[in-house]
Parts: sequence; C-alpha cells; structure tokens
Amino acid sequence: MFRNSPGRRAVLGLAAAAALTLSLAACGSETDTTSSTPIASASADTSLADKVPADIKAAGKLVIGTDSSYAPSEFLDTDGKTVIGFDVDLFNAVAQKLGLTTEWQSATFDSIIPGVTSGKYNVGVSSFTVNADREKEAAMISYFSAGTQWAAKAGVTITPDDACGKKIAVQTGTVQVDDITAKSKACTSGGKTKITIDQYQKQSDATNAVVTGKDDAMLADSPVCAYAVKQTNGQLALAGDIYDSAPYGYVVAKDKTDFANVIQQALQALITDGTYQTVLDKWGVSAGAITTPEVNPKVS
Amino acid sequence: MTDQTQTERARPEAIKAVPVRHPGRWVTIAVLAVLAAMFIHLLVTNGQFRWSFIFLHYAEGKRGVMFTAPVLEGLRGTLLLTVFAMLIGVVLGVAVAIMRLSDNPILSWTAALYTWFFRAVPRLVLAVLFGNLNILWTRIGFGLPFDRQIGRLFGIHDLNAQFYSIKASDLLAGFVAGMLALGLSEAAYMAEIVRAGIQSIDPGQAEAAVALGLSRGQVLRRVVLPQAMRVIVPPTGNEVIAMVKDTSLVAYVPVTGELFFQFQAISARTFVVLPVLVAAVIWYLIICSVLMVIQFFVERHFSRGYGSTSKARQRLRDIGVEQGGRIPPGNEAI
Repeated sequence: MFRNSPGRRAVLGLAAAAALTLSLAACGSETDTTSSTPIASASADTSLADKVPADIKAAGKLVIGTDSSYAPSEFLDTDGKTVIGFDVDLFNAVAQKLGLTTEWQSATFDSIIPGVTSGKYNVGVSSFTVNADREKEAAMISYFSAGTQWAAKAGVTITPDDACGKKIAVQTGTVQVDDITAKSKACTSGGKTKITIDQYQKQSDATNAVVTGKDDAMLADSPVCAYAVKQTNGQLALAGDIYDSAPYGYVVAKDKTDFANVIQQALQALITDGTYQTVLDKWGVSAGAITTPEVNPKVS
Repeated sequence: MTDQTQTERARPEAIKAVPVRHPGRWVTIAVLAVLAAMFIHLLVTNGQFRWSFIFLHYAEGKRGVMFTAPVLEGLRGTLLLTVFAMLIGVVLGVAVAIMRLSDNPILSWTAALYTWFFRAVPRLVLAVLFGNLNILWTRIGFGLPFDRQIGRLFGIHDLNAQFYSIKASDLLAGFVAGMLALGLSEAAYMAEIVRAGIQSIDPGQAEAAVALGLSRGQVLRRVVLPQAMRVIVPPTGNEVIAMVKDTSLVAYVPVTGELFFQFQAISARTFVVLPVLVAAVIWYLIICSVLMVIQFFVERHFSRGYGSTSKARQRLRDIGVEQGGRIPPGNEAI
C-alpha cells in the first residue's frame, strides 16, 4: 500500500476522497414530501416598496437570523436546509409585499439580537417575545400573540401555579426561564420545596425530557407546546391554561426605525388582505392572531 | 502398587503438571459474559432504540436517519471540515513550532503567546466566539493597514487602500468560522507536537549537515524534519481522530452542513431524540475506526528501521546467544 511513489500516493488519496464524495452524492433518491406548499403569494406593494431604506432596497434581499429548532414557528425541513414554519411563511409574505427576497440563516437563539445589532442579519425572526429587555437592545414589531403553556405526560396532573418540588424542563434563553425561576422563588419563600429547573439548549431536548419522564412537565410558548403535543402522538398533554400572553416581535436594529415602520405597514396590509389569516390557519396557530401590529409595543 | 515402587524405587513418579489455575480470571470472564449478554439483550429487545427509524426509514418516503440525504451531506461536511482544519493546523503548526525554536526572542515569544492562547481556550467556546466575531468588523479585507488613520494624517477623508474585502458576516459564518476555530486551535497543539519532534533529533545531525555545507533551510527540510516525522506522525494521527470528534462542536456556531447539526435538526422536527443520537454515535464510530486502521499503516510506514523491526532483530540476536553465542551472519553490526 505504501510502496508507491509519493506522487502516486497523493493521486490515490485524492481519488479515494473523490470516490467517497461521489458515492455519498449518488446514494439513491428519496422522495421529497416537503410539507410547505407555497402560500398564495402576496403581490408586491409599490407604495410600500418605495419606503424601504435605500441600502436594503439595493441589496434586494433580507438576511434573516433564526433559531431553526423551534417547531412549528421555525424548523428545518426534511432536506436539512430549508427553514420552514409559520414565522417563515409570514415573514416571507411581508418581504414579498416590500418587493424583497429572503435568505434564512440558522443561528443560535442568543446570538440573533447581537447579530441584528451588528448588521449580520437585517431582521431576526425567531418567535421573540417582546419584552422590555429586548426592546432596550433593538426595535421590535409585534406580529402574533403567544402565551406560556404547560405540557406534561398524558395522564399526569400538574398545576402550573403549584409545581413546587417538581422537575420542570424549559429551553434556555426563553422568557419561560424567568417565569419558572420566579415561580420557584415563590415556592421557597412560601416554605415549600423549590422547583428543579432543567434548562435545555433546544426545545426538542426539553420536550424529550418530559416524554421520557426525566422531567415532570415543561413550559414553552403556546404554539410550540401545542405542536409538541401533536408530534409526540398523544404521549404529552397540555396542562392548565395559556397565561402571560405577550406579542411575538420581529427584531430590527434600533436605529432603523424607518425600516421597522415599513415592516409594520406591510404586516398591516397582509392582515387586511387575508394572507395573514391564511398562514396562521395553515399552521393551526390562528388562536394567536392579532389585528394591529405595532412598532415597539408597550410591554410590562 | 507398593510392590512396584519397591522394585523400581530409582524412578520418581512422573510429575503431574497442572497448569496454574486462574479462578479470578474465570470469574471475571463470567461477569463480562453476563454483562455482554445483557447489553445485546438490551439492544435487541428495547423498543426505544427504534432501529428501523435509524436504518430503514424514519418518515414517509425517507431512508433511515443514518442515510437520509441531509445527514449524508452533513457527513461530507464533517469530513471536509476535518481535512481543512487539519491542513490549517499542520501547516500553521509547523510554522509556529519553527518560530518557537528560533533564536530570535520576539519570534519565539510570539509563537509561545499563540500556543498559550489557543491551548488555554476550550474549543467549544472558541467555536461560538468565532461565530460571533463578525460583530467586531463590518468588512474584512487585504490592503494597507491603518489606511483610515494614515489618510486622516494627510488630511484625506475615508482613504480606502483595501484592494479586496468581503463582508465579515459572510466570511465569518458557518463553515469558515468553524474551520478557522478548529484549525487555529489545532495549530497550537500541532506546534507542540512538531516542536517535540524536532527537539528529539540529536543536534549533532544538524551540526553535521551544516558542516557538509547545507543551508539552514536545507538542514530543516532534508535532515531534521524527515527524522522528526517518526515522532510527529503517531500523535498527529491521534489529533486527526480527535478532530473528527471535535467537528461536532461547530454545530453550535452553527455550521448547518455538519453531521451533528443535521442530526439535531431531525430531532427538533420529529421530537425523537435517542435514536437520532445513536445514529450519530454509529457514524462517528465508523469514521474513527477507518481512521484508526489508516493510522496503523501510516505509523508502520514511518517507523521503518525503528521500533518493531529493531525489536525483531534484538529477538533474533537473543535466539542466537541462546544457541551458543553465535550471532547469525549479517546481524553482527547491531
């Protein structure tokens, strides 16, 4: 094997690498059952498109940062590349209204707002709950209303207001972390055992922890919880009511108020012409529909 | 019986040689056998593994998780990432090692500083850091350094002396960010390995080569490095295998065309976690096993004339000594 001259050896190595690459590419075909059928496309609105800031208009394309592990809001399709979800369909429609195309980039959730601030992304679309901390960092345009919802293993009863002593799964960096931390504090100051909070990097890991019985329950945004219950084939059940309803918001850089306003107007146009409702219906999340999007809405 | 022993008393009874018994060994083997049986039983009977999900098909019209198209592309990404990161690591590592051994204190301290930084920062932290480095710059390019400042000095506003630049968020994202993080950190480890290799060569070798009139570069390339290879190659093989495993860290940059990221995307979509992780384990086992076999052959190649061969000669000579002190012909010089 190693008696060859160095040159021939290198050629052999390259050939082996090429063969490996080719064999990977030619490994039979899979049928593509892409679940995202293109939504009735929103036609570009020239009066809105004219208001788009010149630099973005010149680029013609919006780069969007998203944490693609948050089904059904944003997640990767079976091809492992395309980001799909109701956030994606909705924002694609917004971009169409503005005569722009979109490029979705997977990012870690924590890095999206810094990415928007630094100009890496034009917009952050990743089920961001609008809150005061985030509004300090960036401008936010509300587009949906989601609350916090609990889910537990089917047949287990758990009351969100009295989870003292239980083990609860939650995705790190979400507003639910603050929520559950406050609930745990209430337990300890009331003389009860604290809540064990297990923070996971990904929502799917949190869901899995409840399915496998590692944790007693989880809390997440209402559409996410509903989707997880649906996907796990009846192993999970929703617990309690939706509470703390707060708007989801698109994130744009703080100094780009013109751009924030034009996104708000495009969204309003989509609500008026019915595209908004179509998208929400398609993903089964119309419970969270709003009627008037706002730039930097007042939140507690 | 007694009659016989009396008549043939000169002959002692034949030794009833019984092999040394190892009851401890047999107990251990029994325990291991039971454990192995339990493990196989677990693999076969526990439905949670969902082997058909892993190997056959995981969704309508899809192959198993291990062989679905995005995972295979991720596998290619992982292999490419390993190759490129190791290329950066080896080339830069050799350069840093040579700098480190330089007589010039500035060069050697710079190399020491580099090694110190990249050995002290964990790779995962480094990978996430590189994914966010674009916050520092809007564009990255080649050109006159400090061009703005020099321009201001001469009263020119916005002097742009860069002849090529690229948006930082395009350059320092995904694959390139992950590759740089892994490659630069690898260079620090490779520098240490190469340094040890070079230092293992007797200085007399270099002195003799200089005496023969070779230039310093020639000494390094023709005399020192070829001999240092024997010391450098085995740990480098280990580094390659470690690199394959460390590519999984860049899933947090995130690098989307990477094996572990693609597996995580599948569990994010399907909420099936354990079988997907098992599939990841199997792929990493396969890649690393292949590399270990290659490492065995490469090491055997570079240790020609040393190690096992000389041991074999030693054995040959020992046999010769046992057989009357005659060293077999052709081996006297050992």
